[in-house]
Amino acid sequence: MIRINNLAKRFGEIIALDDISLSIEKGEAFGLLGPNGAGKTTLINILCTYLDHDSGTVEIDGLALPGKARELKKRFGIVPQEVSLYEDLNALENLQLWGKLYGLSGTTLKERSDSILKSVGLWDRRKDAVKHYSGGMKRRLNIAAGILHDPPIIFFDEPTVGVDPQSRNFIFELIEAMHEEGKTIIYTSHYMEEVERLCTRVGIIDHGKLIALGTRQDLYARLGEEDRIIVRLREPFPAEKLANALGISVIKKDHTSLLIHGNDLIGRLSNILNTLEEMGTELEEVHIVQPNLEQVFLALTGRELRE
Amino acid sequence: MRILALIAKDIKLFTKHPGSLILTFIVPMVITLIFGMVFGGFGTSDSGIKGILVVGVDEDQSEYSQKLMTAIGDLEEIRLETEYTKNDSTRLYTNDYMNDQIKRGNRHIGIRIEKGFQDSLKAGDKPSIHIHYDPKFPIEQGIVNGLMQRTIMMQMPSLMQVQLFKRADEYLGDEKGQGFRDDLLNTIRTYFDPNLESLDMPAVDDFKITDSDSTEAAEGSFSMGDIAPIRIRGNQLLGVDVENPMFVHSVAGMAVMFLLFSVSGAASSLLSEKQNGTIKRLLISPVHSSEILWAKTLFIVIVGVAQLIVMFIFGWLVFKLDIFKDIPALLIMIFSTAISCATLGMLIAASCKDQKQVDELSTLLILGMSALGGSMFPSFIMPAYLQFVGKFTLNYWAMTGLTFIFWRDLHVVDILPYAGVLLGAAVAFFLIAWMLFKKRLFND
Repeated sequence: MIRINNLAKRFGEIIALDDISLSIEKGEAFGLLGPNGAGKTTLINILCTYLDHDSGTVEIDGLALPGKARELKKRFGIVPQEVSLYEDLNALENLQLWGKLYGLSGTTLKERSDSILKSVGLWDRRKDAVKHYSGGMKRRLNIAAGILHDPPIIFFDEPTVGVDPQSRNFIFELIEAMHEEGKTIIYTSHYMEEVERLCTRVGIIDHGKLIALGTRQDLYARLGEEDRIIVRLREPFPAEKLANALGISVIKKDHTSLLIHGNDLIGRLSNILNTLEEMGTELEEVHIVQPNLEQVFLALTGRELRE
Repeated sequence: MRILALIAKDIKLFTKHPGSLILTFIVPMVITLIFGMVFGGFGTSDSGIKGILVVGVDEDQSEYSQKLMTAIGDLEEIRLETEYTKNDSTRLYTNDYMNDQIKRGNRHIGIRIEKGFQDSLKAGDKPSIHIHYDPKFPIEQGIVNGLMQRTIMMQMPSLMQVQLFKRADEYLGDEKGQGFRDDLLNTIRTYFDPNLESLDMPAVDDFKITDSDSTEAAEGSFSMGDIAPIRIRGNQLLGVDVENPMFVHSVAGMAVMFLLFSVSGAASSLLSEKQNGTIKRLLISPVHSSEILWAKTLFIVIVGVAQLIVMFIFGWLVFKLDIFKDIPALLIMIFSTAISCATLGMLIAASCKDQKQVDELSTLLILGMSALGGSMFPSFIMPAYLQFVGKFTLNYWAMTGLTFIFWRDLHVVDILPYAGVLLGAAVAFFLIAWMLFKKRLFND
């Protein structure tokens, strides 16, 4: 359904996207994971025709971009990172506007607006100006405006930024329901928990490059059979020193935490703790890490997602 | 300490915005400079109104009338034009041609010395000098009237004495008239000039029109007050039935100035929409960038048209402005004014990065244009080069076109050149704004 081959985009000297190739199938929930500035939004902006690409090819439903942009626009919806609404208008007026721009009118527009306002839980506040809404309510209306015209493909560009946990959960349930309806979801985030929950397949992007692509299980498999433990110390301690002493791989995770990975770490745990004690460190916490996308990113880049 | 820290913070924020500095320091200086150039000259101690263009028609062509016309022409406040060129030949202005030029708006004011001027003076009667004027320029007319009186008083002081004695003899008879003169002589001797020997009626042939460089002597001599030897008659050529001439003059100027402010504000909403992301969302939707710009421009034109219509209806209700003289012509001018102002507002918005810059640039540009274009004060009081610069403003063309409808009873065909200039400017503004918007608004 979406075919991207050797896609590249530069902003002056900055390489925003570098030789990206991937495919997203119809009905798939695809997650694009990466730290801030990795190129996720640039990729979404190209897919939704807002930006032109420099080289490579992009096809959506067999139509090449940017040539067929106008024809394609009605086939997808976007929930942008910013709350892009007219705050002096009320929810209903906003939806009426966006619906008309997507070609809806009359009864269809009214029924869709009413239905979507109910499904995002804003029916009772539909006549209030958006500027009086909470952050979570604005985010829900932002989503409503993006899916009002019932598109088969929906781009969610970090839709939960600044949202309270309750609204975040509401948004997740909404996206899951849309996926169950058969919509194609393309979801970008730098929160690995969100992507893990919502997406069946994930692309990890960093510095404009797609560094990993596959199902969650495919990506976890990249971690190998190694165990991972995180030790949190009272004072900072050099990772290299511990690695040399233990003869295993140690990565500095943050100021006082170290990530240790290797085979059979659980069996060697007492040995590790003794070594740390002998080296004069004071241990605060030991945490055995389950495989997750955060670990995949760390293993691939040596950095954390939120660095 | 905390207050100082907060003040220091505000100063830092203030200085980080060059626009704030421009608005605070540069705009007042520029506007002051324009006003200074208009009212006080520039870089000189010389000040005052100079070079008001006045048409002169001498129907008498006598020695006295020619000398008076020369004296008027020598005034630095007046630029006297007695001839015009047509078909490569130079001709003297006639009464009819002068009136025609004033009615068409090519000239604002003229003076006419009627036939028989010298004979009338010699007979001791009061001849008339006529000021033909366009009431759209009342200040101009007032200044010329005052200058005419001053010139007559200074150039022909003995005429006042003649008029006084003539009137005294007419009303009092010869005997009492002589008594009046004796009493007057004694009074003058007591209070002004003890060496004055007599106050005889001067002979008509003794009347002298003094040279213009003898002003000092004339001013220092005894004056008989405000007894005018020559009548100055006003001849309003246009808008005799206009009930509130000053309002008609000012309404267009004020309307255009405030229209520019409101449309530049409306246009800058595009920048707000860019900042809050709605423009991006619009561009992702099946809307073309040109549709966004057209919609915004048309919205601003609608606002502008509505604002002008409301302003003129207000003028009709409150000041009895006759807005029904020629409705099609008025609508054409309103539309062309609104669309030119709207597109200028779009251009201002397109030239700026954010709303703050729009406020700063529009304040500078609109106040400058309004000052030079005649919205704030009549353009005739400006030096000729500033009047020329004023023609590059929307205010000038809009005001001229609008007031022509009310003053000169001009119709659709007559105001088309003015509407055409405004629409031409609108096309240019829109195209430039479009290019800038495409670069800044849609690709940044």
